[in-house]
Amino acid sequence: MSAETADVLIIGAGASASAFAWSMADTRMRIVCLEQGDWVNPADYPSHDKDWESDPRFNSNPNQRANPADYPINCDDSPITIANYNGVGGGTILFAGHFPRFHPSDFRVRQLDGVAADWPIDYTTLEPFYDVNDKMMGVSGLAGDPAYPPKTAPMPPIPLGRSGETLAHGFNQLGWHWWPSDMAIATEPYDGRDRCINLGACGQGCAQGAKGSTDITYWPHAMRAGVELRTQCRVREVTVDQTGRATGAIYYDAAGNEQFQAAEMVVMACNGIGTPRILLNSTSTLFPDGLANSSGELGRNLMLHPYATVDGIFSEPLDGAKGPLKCVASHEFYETDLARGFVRGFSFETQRGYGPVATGLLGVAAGRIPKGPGHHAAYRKLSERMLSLVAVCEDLPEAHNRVTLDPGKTDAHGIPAAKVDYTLSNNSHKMLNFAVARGAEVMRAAGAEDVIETKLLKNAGWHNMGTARMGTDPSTSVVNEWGRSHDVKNLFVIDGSVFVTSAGVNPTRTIQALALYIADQIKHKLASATLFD
Amino acid sequence: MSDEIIASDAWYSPHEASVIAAIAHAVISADATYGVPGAGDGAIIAKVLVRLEPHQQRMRAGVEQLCEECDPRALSPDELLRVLELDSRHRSFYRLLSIYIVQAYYQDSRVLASLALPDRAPFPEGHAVQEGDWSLLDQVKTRKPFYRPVNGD
Repeated sequence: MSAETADVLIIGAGASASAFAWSMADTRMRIVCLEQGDWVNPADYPSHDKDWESDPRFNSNPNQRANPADYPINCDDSPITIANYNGVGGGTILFAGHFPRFHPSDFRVRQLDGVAADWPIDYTTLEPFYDVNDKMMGVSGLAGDPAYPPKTAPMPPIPLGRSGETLAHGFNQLGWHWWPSDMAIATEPYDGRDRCINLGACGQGCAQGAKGSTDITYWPHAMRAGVELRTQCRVREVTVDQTGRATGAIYYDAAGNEQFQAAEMVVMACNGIGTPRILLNSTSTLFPDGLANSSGELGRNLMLHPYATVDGIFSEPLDGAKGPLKCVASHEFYETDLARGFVRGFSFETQRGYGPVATGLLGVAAGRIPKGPGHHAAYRKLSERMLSLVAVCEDLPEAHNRVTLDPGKTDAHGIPAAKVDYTLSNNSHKMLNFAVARGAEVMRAAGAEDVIETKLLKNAGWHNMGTARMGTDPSTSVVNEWGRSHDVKNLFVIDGSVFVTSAGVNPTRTIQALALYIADQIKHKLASATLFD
Repeated sequence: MSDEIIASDAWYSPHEASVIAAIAHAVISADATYGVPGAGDGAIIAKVLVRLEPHQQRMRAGVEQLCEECDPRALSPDELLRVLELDSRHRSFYRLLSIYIVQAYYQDSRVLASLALPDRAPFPEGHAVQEGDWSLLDQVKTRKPFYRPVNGD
């Protein structure tokens, strides 16, 4: 079967691949997707167990999780470690479902602020694809947010709860913006999924199926439409012929046997770390520095979203770990105000509360719960009385922040591990300091008796962007304005690697809108026989 | 993972297990006021030891180094904590062990009951969360759109 040539070969089965595959399925072409991980059985999710907080199989750090599907990522030279999940659904298996759109200004940072580069597309171009994606993922939210152009959501918002109410009071006290978060969580029965029942374990996989991980949103539709998804197939490299066209991919199957899948078109969807890793490992006489890398930009401009957190401790009980992790967001400090000492900005999102284990670990680490005498009394002051604000800071592209192949480490199949070299910019330092101060301010306004400030979350490299960025100039970008490699005319990149800038919000909704947009472009160009021009 | 420990502490010798239990007891002691056991309790420490299986080498080395300095089981909890916290050689071992102690302790049924927290898996029952007062949003709704315009918008 694998010897047959696929019309479209997609590598990776996460957020972008699922949307792209579903969209392309209506072409009736032969579409094959290779995924190094497997399907996750919802019965395996930790929320089936009382001890749902500390299941190592669903640790977001791949180096610690070390599941058979994982590959090592050397983060020794980065203050932020990479987080991901390898399997059908990718990072959406473990994401919180917080689902904001980018703002129109995010696509024009050069024009507006004189930094980084503008995207070759804009918000208006992506808007119809955001709308389609919202329906497919099942988004809950509330129309009328003054921080955004008009948009709607298919389902009503998740509950504010005590935690959301408490923060809302704080924001209102200061006259700052807040709004119920757009969430990829079903608040009513939707497309075969049941509604959210407030398990509180969104970050370890949703046993209820209310959260929109793409194994239960896009993939069932794509597979019914004929897409073939092959799991436990780890791609080593993309191959090319003598003319420089991609011919397919070499991969290892579940038994560890080397296989080759021929294809007319290869589509990379392995996120901002995995995509450059495979392309850098795809060397040949024609492409000695890796595939699609004539610009030298492949793997560079890695953006990670530095996260700051501010925890408030209140005298009255809040939601604890009951309910979706996120409930409200604020975009008060999203746009540039040079009086703050930095360019661009950040969004605040809420962490509704913590479970018993996380409360203990956080309280001990922050010095609020002592070891030994006084432990129990101190714990009780925090239990179900904490909530958190997370600042998602825009990270600007810098060439020295990059992904390369690790010279020493390999995965179980001998494929070089990814190596991350990343430093926080001066702009990010200033933004994080400002965000922590504002977070503490709103917590106090909301009535917090104590505040724990964490300037930089180390284990929070969820958003891996920019390492194969799009642009119209082949000397400064890896793919063109519709995701096609400048160097290899039948090679596409559709994941967060193509981001030109990172914005100050979670990227998954934009990643998927982009994947749908690229699929749409491909279909139009197929129809006009201009795809490979 | 259920409450039942089956093979438990075979990875550690009785001596190593007793030293780890002494440390757990020092980190979180029993408290009659709240009706809670200490983390050195047999059922809790059995869970700690099971979960420390992937860290056997590090734990063994840490216990050995600590025992070169003192007999942890002969020290009072306060004395033992002082040794662990003041001597930087124990820092890595102690930090890792403390994480597993806290994890196991705050899943114990007696501890959760004392805290009035649910002693069950979240699924399938789920939890009730109050809707909240949406009138709080009225203030924000009066605000004019403030997203930044770009050319063409």
